[in-house]
Amino acid sequence: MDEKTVKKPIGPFDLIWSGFKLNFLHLAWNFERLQNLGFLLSIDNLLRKIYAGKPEERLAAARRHIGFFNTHIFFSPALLGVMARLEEDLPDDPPKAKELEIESTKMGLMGPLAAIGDSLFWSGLKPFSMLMGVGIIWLTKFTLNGWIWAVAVSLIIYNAPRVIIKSYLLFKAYYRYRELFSSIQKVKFQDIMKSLKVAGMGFLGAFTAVYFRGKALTLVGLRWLDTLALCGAFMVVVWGLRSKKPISFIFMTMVAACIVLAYIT
Amino acid sequence: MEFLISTKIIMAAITGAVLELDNYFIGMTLLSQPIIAGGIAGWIFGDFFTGIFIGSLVQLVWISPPVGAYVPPSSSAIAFTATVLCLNMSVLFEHKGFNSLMMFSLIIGTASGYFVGQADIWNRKLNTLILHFFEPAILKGSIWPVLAAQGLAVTAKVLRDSVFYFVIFAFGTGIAGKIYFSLPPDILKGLEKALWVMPVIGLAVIYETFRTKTGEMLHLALFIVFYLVLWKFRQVDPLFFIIAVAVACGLTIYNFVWNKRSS
Repeated sequence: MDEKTVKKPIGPFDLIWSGFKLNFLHLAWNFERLQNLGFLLSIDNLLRKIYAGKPEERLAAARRHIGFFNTHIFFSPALLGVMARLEEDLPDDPPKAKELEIESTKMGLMGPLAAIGDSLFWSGLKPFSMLMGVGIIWLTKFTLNGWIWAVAVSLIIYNAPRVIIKSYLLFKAYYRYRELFSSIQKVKFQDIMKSLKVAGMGFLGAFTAVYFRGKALTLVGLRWLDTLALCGAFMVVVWGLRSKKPISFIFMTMVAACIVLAYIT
Repeated sequence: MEFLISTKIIMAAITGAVLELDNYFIGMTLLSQPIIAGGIAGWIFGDFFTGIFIGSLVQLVWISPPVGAYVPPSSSAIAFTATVLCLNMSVLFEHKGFNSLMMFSLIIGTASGYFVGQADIWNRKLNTLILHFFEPAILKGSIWPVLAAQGLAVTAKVLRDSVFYFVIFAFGTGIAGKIYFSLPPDILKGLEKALWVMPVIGLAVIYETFRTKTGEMLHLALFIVFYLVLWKFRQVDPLFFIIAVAVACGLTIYNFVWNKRSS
């Protein structure tokens, strides 16, 4: 059947409203079923439309979606769209088969989407955008104007892809759910991640130079010695991070070392 | 015991609690990140510079993201608490030597960030109880119990954070100030040095987050180039700086990531 020609009970505004409610996915995050309440709240208006005049079936659907749910918040629209479409397309009889199909699809999708989201947003875009923000603040010497620029740049770098990805996934998952995963596979996430990391390292190198050339040199008093000391401290911290030492431990050790140094010098 | 109360402290406590929501519970738009939280705290207490400075330091060090069910310390709580305590202490005790005070506040802020992270775990346990309480009503088909559960969860979180911030700002300033002013001068000097070295931790954290072979080479090359440029000219226009780095990064990415793959 042509997906385009079938009249849907769910319109674009229903999808947008559901997608908006996904912003509250973590609100009642719990250790037992994680994001289940947030997901149920988001899909509820779609279920009401799909099962209009069928209260028993709607209740069964609500029971399905109060179960375990955990994925990346920005990739959750994909699951919302696919779930809505499956609820709509699969026949209500036999109910066990429908439940099994929806449950297994949900379980199969949550993990991979969470993995893509975690690496793209948490390990890529977030540190990159914040690095840009901090870099601009340092370069503009902590002025109000610089801060406004830093906040604007970092929020745009992070939030523009967030909004685009969420909207794209929501509509694609609902209207073209069979093509969703071939479309996702076509996106070169590995190359995008590598590009982000390389760009991050480039900016980091330049910002490190700004910090090392800063005028508030107070560690030893001699510029070249201070630069050497900072390089040494950098290497020690990198070694500590590679040895899986917690950041709080490194932080407190550094404070203690500086106090000892103050007593010695 | 010293007890501070003012509209600024109440405002800061509520603002801090509302910002905390963006950290994980609503939207996750990065509005709660330390560079923003620190700036807002500084603006409330009339010293923007200190807020941005502390915020940028905290941002670098605690840039690591929350992955899966792990609950990290709240970096916005660290920046917010450190800024408010530092500015309050400097006014209350009319203190001028600022760097060591900033570092001392950062240490207390770090402890409070870990506390807020731990308290989030308690909230999530409470959310499980809330889920069990409302589940029978949800299964009867109404959406109101879901909304009530969400509302209760967010109210508990905001209340908890507001009270925490209020207590630490109102009572903590006096106690922290007394501890700080009883410290020997050598420790204060040590704290001053620690403040200066602190960005190194952040730079190393980001270095480890982004490390790739091509990236390491680019990092070293741009570090050397910009170190020499700054040594020669002392000052660089920020816009020129960013464009120059972006071009260098763009060329490297084009040649070593995308072009390499397509060929």
